[in-house]
Amino acid sequence: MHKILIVDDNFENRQLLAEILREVAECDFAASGKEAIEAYNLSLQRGDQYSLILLDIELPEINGLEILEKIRESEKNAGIALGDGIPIIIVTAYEKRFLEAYEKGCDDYILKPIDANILLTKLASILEKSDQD
Amino acid sequence: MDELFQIDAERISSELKIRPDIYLRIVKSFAGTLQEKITELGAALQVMDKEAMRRILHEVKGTASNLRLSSINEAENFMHLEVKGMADPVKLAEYFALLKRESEKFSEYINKMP
Repeated sequence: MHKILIVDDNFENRQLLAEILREVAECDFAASGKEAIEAYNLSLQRGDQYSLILLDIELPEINGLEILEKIRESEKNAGIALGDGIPIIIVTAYEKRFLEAYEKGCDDYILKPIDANILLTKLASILEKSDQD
Repeated sequence: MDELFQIDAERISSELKIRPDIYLRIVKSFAGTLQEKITELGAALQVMDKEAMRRILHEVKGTASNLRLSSINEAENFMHLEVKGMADPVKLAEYFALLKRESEKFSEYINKMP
């Protein structure tokens, strides 16, 4: 089963996303940017990298776009080419923010309110692709 | 928005592809969170802290819309638009009262649930 990191500062949103994904993935949670970076680094240290990160943009202190930048920078430093790193789906209420996130290296986006069908379809497509790689 | 609060848990949970009892558990949790947010929002309104109001309303919007709580979402939206626009204190107070009323109706509904 895939392992997904859900990054959202709202408890109910994290629970909802994990329930929608229950059949396809085990989920870990991060409630802040700091927790997200820690969870990501820990997964690398354990050699048990996440299959995907679902990343909310609006977070206190370190926002989702900054987390995205930090992860892509760390991958670049490790010699991982853009597109070969961990898949990251941005979760946002504003479609226009995806463009900014896309430039920073996200793979896809999902709009709030969450549409379970769209989320599961996008996830399946990305996970299938990363399974083949 | 004066009608009784209603949640069609069967329909919404089916749309969200989760079990109805789990949907209701998340909704109950949000009812508690919303009360805290309303208190924070009232405090931010008193000192006209627009950034705090915008942040709190954004949080309410995200969860209320994900959980398909349309009357909360609608009431939040009036205040959110006013904060982002003219931020007239009289209108903000009016919209805050509306959101507070809706959240109270939501809490009453949740408290009556078995």
